[in-house]
Amino acid sequence: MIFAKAESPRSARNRRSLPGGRRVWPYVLIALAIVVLVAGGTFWLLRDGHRFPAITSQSIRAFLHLPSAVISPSSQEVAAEKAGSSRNKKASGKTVSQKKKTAVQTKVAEVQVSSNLESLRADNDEMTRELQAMVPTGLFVVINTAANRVILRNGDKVEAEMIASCGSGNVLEDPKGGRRWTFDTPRGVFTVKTKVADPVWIKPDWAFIEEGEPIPRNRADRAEPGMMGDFAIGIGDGYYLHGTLYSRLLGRNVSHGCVRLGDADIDRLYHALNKGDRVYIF
Amino acid sequence: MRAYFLLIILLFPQVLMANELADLQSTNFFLKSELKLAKSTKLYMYIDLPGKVILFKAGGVAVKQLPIDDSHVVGTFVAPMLRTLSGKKAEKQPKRPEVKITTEAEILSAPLPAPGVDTLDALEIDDMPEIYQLVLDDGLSLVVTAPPTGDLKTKVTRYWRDAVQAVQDRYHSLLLKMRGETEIPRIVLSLSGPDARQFYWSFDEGMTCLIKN
Repeated sequence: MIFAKAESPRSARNRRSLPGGRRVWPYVLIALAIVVLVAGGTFWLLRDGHRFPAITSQSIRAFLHLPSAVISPSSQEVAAEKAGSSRNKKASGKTVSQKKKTAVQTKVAEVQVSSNLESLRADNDEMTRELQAMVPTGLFVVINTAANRVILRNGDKVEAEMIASCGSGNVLEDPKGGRRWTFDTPRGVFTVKTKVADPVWIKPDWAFIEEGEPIPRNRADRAEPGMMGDFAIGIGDGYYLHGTLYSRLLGRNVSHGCVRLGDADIDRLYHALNKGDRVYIF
Repeated sequence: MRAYFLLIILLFPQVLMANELADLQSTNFFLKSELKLAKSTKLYMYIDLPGKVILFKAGGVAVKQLPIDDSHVVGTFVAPMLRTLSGKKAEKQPKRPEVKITTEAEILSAPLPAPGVDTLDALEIDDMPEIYQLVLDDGLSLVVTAPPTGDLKTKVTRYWRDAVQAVQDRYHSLLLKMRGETEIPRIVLSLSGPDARQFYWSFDEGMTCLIKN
């Protein structure tokens, strides 16, 4: 007769404990709790699209502005359709005619889609051509107000890069009148409106306020020749690309909004640009 | 593999048509929007996330291009539409210096600055922040970050702050979820330091941007 060897209480305890006599079950419980928490948390986070866009056929349709015929239906829509078709089957023997009707509808949708494709392609080509036509073919100027650089371009080719002084961004308040000026160089697209040799600066009100001087009543008292260098190129609203007396400050933001350039550079720009040429400032 | 694709193409021409239609419609939207913007004289931003580039454009011409090192969208789906910049948030907002009214006599009598000391009062590119948030009119925000520069201490501090911010963001999202509120989406853009400053400099309040997602 064979008797099973009785397990000693000690070996049974060893099976359920870690080296050193520590019990296993608290670790198992903790591991289980972590698994449950991670799985539950992940399920909870992902259940309705947290962190990820809730991608439904409705959202795709809304995004792409597509007609409903070309989008595959969502599970709810499929379920609804199934329910509807089973009702139809039960109702009568119209299934064949309905199938035909659906096939015709699909064909109509396909024709609509292909005609949409054609008109969209033509529309897109037309707009692309229109955008391409906006790019200047001749000389134009690009001004980086942050880097104080003026780039003379001819299409994609850089003809010259010049160091400039753009707006300081300072603010001036008139202590008497309550007026306020911000000395920024404007941004956007401008055109060369005027070209002046030996320009005379007609000092605006802020120039007198800044120096603590009274504002003169007649125009002649505002005239200050030589301040704008040898040439000035007007781009509208009183803003100019012009020469400067303060060439040591070129490369810094010190102007009142105009773009100051060295003598040789303003000379080159003056003779290169024509009225109507584009000036892009950013 | 190729055989499967061929089979799909043969069996489901509608799928291909739908894809092409979707592409064309998306292109159509961007072209229409850009034409509208290009016809104005204003500067606008074209943020192309798949192309990893920010284009500064005016009159349809790209005048500056900033490469995007990395980008991701947090929150709900960002629909394509024209958006206007309504505000900028930064820890250290650059301040416009006020012009001190000084007479010629005062200027002449003032002591000369020490050599090498910059006395110029102006708002310059170096005053712009590298980490900031641009809030658009529909609530979407562009979070711009740049890799930390400087000594080890600055870098460690910055990484620690980023980690804390990331944890805070996650908890904030969870909290909103629990309350049943919708999270305001944001786009996180990683640019180089100079590019981040340039973007802050040129993208002003009131300007329009077009985001290709």
